[in-house]
Amino acid sequence: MSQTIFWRLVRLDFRERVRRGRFLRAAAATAALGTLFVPCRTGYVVLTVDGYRGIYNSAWVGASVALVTTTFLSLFGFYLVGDAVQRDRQTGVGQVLAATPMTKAAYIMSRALSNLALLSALVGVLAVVAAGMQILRGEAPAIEPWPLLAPFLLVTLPGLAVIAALAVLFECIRPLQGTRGNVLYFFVWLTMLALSLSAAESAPNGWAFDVFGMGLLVDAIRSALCGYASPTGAFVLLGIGENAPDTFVWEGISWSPQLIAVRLLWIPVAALITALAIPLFDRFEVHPDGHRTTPKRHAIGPIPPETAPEVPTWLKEGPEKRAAFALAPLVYQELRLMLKGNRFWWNIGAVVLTLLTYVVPEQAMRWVWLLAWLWPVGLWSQLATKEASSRTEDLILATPHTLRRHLPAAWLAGLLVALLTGSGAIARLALSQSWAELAACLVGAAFIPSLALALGAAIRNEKPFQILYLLLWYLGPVEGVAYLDFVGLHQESLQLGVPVLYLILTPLLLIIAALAHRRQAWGS
Amino acid sequence: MELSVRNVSKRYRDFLALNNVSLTLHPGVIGLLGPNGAGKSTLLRILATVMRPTEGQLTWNGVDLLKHPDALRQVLGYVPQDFGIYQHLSAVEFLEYIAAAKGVPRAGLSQRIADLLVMVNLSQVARRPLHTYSGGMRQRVGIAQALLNNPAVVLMDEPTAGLDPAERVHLRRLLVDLAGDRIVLLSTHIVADIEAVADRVVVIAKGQIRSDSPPEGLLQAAHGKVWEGTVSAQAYDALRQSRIISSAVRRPAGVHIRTVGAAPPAGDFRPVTPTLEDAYLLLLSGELGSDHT
Repeated sequence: MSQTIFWRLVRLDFRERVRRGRFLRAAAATAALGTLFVPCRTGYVVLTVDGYRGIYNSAWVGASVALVTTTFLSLFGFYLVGDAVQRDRQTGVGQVLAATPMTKAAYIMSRALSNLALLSALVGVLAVVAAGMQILRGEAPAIEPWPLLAPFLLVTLPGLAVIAALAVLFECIRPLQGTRGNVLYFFVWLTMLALSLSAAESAPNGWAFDVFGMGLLVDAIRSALCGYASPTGAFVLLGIGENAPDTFVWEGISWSPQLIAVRLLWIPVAALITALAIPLFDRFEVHPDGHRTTPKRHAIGPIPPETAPEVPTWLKEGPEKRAAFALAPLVYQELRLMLKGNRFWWNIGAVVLTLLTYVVPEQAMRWVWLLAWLWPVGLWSQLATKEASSRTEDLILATPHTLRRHLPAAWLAGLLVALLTGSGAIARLALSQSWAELAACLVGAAFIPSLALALGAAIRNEKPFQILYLLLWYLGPVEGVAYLDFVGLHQESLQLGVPVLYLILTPLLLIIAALAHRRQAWGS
Repeated sequence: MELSVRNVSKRYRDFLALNNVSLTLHPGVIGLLGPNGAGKSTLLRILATVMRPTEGQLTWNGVDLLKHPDALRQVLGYVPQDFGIYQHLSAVEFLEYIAAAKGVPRAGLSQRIADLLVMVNLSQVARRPLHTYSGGMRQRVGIAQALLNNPAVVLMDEPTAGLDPAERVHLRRLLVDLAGDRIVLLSTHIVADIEAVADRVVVIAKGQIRSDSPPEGLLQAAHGKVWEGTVSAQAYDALRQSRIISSAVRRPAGVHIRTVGAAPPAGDFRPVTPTLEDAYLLLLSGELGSDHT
């Protein structure tokens, strides 16, 4: 395959993806978010080192926005671009490409580069927003192109090259396609973030694992702070409720060849990750729905064509007047649909986690319970998206009372999954008469499917719920950020009455779900 | 029993997919015929209450469906042109799911599903996951789901797509058996499917209804406008530029062609009995006029 054709593959894929509404919405949201990355005195800081922040000149704005951009896009960007291969598989374009002389290497590299191009476009948006915010804040409004752009080019983009390659690699490893990969990547991202934060504290020792480039930038800022007053705090990236920091003038990094090499070394790492994906790519040999081509045990022989099937008598007798609706059968069907597609090991894991919540010691129970409520994230994320992902929307929308029937049935099925997997915790909280904890737990059980329905119905994609739920789950119950603790696991959140907030939020989310659903199914 | 659209239009940004369409449907098999992109699927989606028209009225037995779509959905069976299925379910499970969504009573449901699967010739594979099914088999599952609630209105959008010839014959027979007390609207661009079953043919092109008549009406209007003859290969190439050729077969004596038009081409051509396809081609070419009611 010639280079011309390869670059055409990259360019056309990028063009197709960049025109999608989802990317345009992401770019708009990124631009809006970017305006928050250069804060006024509004109760939060984006970047401080030892209690200082630089005045908003090009060097500081470039460095701080680039750091936050790397952190955010390394998480959300992965989910945004992580469907390059899947999309070709679903649209059937993959089958067409597979029938051409295109090599696996060319395809995988083109998709990794296209991923990087998309992420770079978002970085470009943020760089422009950063420049605008620098002028708007007016502390040092003169734009200096190199100090402003160098952090984006040398810190952000090499890091995102790794993310773009990881996205392709995850798509090529079959067990990591879909929810499992999304959840695993969240923990990969947490690990990368922890390593970068560690590098920022111990630079330059940890630079070898610093994908996000925090160590390098923070070290340069610390060096510039040597002549200032005694340090008052550590490195803070996105601090809420922080005191207004002191300011100093930072002229930016002097980019030596060694520093540039430290960052550009991530490009071959990205290339290596991409190369790992090449032999794992199946060249679209799998079925479009994600299954291997028909296995033997399911092979269907020729069906006798001339069995002269008869129209059933009840159909010949003429149409029926109307249907009689019952909620319970639909809830059962929704539940069966949720559970049917799961693999054996998933079911075993769910059963084991559920049983463990009954038997492990009190302290361990809470962690097992949390895991048990992470396990079904893929099920909940499909509550309101399965019609779109399975293309059954028209079939369902043509049935009567879709709003009154489908939404409650899906919600109840999601609630049942939460109650079932959390049954050990619920039972033990009830037995120990921990009524406040029990109420918070039940609120959490109702909140989860409500959030899934609202996001699924509004965005019609399962990833937003998966990402948001993972973030909530980690920051709230696991890390103990009180207002995000939707299950009331921590005493502080109970004392603050956080479960009440989620109790109020739950019906609001259901209203959002209903409104979004109503937009699709008119007037039902 | 009457399903009706009045002055319905549908606009997708700058593209007018349906332009002031009015149509009233009564029991029987109605064929909706038109080229690709004519607006057939848009019209069916509007009739099935899954898409709102930009303007116009839609009624079922006098009930305004824009306000009360469930009045029709209670008695509707719909096979969309491009529909998906839940891959992990078997045909039986999928039909049970749709039955629950439609509110089909549990009593007798198993027998009803078994009957339908026999009818669409899938009973032997009824317990296998749907992801193992071929395109034609999935299409038959779609037909079965539409009939679960024994509907008064059956809307089928390109139902023969992916079916082999034997299955198409079965489907045609089924449509004839279904008609009588119910409205069956069959949308297709394959004239033969309509010809075999429809007692009324609606032709739509460029978002407008071009003809609405019994097949005989279309055929009668095409009478004396269909010609057959044999010409040389060079003459055939010239004719292709100026006339609508409905068929051409190369033979030792030359190319035997069938062409439509008010006047015969120059040469040895004789008038022949028109088929519905001839009439359809004439209608689309504009040489048949329109509104054969």
